[in-house]
Amino acid sequence: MIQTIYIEEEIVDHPRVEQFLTRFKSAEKIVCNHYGEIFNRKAQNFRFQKKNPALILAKKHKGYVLPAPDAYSIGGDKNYYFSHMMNCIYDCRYCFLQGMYRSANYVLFVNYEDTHNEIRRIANEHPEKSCHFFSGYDCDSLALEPVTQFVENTLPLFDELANAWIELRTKSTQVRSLLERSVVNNCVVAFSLSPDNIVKNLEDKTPSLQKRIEAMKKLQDKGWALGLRFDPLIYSNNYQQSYAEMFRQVFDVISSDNVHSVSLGNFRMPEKFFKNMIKLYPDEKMFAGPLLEKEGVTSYPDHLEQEMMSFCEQKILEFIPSEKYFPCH
Amino acid sequence: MLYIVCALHCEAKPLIDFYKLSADTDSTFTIFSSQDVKLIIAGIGKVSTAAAMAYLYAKDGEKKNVGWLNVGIAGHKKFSIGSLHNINKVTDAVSLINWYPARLPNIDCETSPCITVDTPVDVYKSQSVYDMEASAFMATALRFSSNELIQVLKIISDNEDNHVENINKSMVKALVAKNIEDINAVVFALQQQIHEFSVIYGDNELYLECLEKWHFSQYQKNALQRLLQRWRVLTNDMRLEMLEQCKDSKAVIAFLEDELEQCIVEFS
Repeated sequence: MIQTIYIEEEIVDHPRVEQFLTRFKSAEKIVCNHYGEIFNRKAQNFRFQKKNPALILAKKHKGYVLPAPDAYSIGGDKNYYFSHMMNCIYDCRYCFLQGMYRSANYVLFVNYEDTHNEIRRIANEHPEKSCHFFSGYDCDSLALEPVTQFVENTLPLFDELANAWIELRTKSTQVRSLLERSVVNNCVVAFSLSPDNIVKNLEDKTPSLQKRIEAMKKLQDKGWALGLRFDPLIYSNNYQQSYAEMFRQVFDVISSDNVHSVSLGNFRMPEKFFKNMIKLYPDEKMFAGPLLEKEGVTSYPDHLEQEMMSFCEQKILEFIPSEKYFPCH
Repeated sequence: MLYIVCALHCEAKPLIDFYKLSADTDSTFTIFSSQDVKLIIAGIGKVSTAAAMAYLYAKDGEKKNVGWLNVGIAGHKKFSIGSLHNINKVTDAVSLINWYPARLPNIDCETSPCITVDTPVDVYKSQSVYDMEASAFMATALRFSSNELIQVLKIISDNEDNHVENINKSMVKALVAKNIEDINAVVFALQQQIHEFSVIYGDNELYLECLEKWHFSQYQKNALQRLLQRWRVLTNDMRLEMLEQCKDSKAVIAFLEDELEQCIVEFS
């Protein structure tokens, strides 16, 4: 439950702000000039804030939609990402957000329409190209949907745009709003999946693997295109057993016909973020394992990366055709 | 360790009594201490506050993970005299910079923004409380600690009906004493946070023992600290005996690196 809400002075009267304040009536409300006064300040502790994060309601002024990194593709000609929120209700120990941001508070940008306009402009600028828009980079796309209704507000736009695809990246089971509406054919609901032992140990506050599979099944039955994201792969002594078991659990229920794409990637983290993460969690087992710094990126040693990728790749390709497989390097 | 900063002795007196603090002798500022609390009487205003805090921090060995609490009187247009306010936003009236002390869970206390002014005011233009120290307190405390360990409490001493010139020492003492239980609830919550910080981020004992036994360069110290953190997580073995065959710091680091390579990472 949100106990503190910071509100940028500029948007105090925004209708969505009023809506959120009505929902969280008992929360303490504090007016600020700019979200950065709280979010970007030094001398705050992400780990401690994560126990009881505040909600910061803000207005985005620029950077509504940004080009995605080169490796970030599931087959589109042009790839972009956008975020209506910064930070996530889940607490995954390998997540880069804890290394990138100083604050664990949630920043929600209430001016959704500016992002929509930018998506429309980009898609219209490249009418001959397939433009993929990835949501869920700086937050989980669906986890706070009952509060934000961002996806509900955004999907109608993709009904209009024939050359645009949206990926909703999530670990959440908050799929009710999707189940209650007609399928958007150019939307991929992409679930981040990890073996049970990784979920239990490293993905605090997230739904279990089984719950995620159940949510995917409901979407599959309604005809939504699914994405499967096995990224990051996390090493443990028994990784082969736990990943093989997970693939079996997933593909026992999810048909490859309903799968739009599968991606696979190793754990990799900019060194600067990783250093911040170690400072926050010096007692984390995953960080104590065999990780190395290579050219500014922290990852597993090459031989381990190759071993894990080829093992998982081989297992995945037993279930899906290779044209749906997108390894991330 | 929790540092409490008060501007005036009369603000501090009920706290000194409640926490049974003893006066430190031979000190530029007046400081009262117990094992886990130190209280400094800073004097009125921003410069005095910042100077006193820097003095206390340096004098006490520049400790990490300490808490900072500012307790003092303030004015407000309408709030009743003696009401206690946990400050959620501090604005410096001159620079217009804002600070936002972290919100502590389960604190049942009125909250309010605070504006720090350079001279006493008797016209309260906004809905904020007015004081003369909080902005300097926040700016300084954030240099030495984390926002989660910093709090500001203000007790209303003057309002539109009870003007600032009516304030006297005995009245201030009584106002603070009246709120001592609620102040203590904040102190307790802060001390819990401080304890958690220390457990997670404090130096481990084996690290300190190694520093005593062998000489490490600063680079080696950083490496040793991380190796021992990893060692503790993966083996839970924190006995110095395992290192006793090492003849110097280089050997200690090499031993730990070799041993860590053999460690198994398991998630059950």
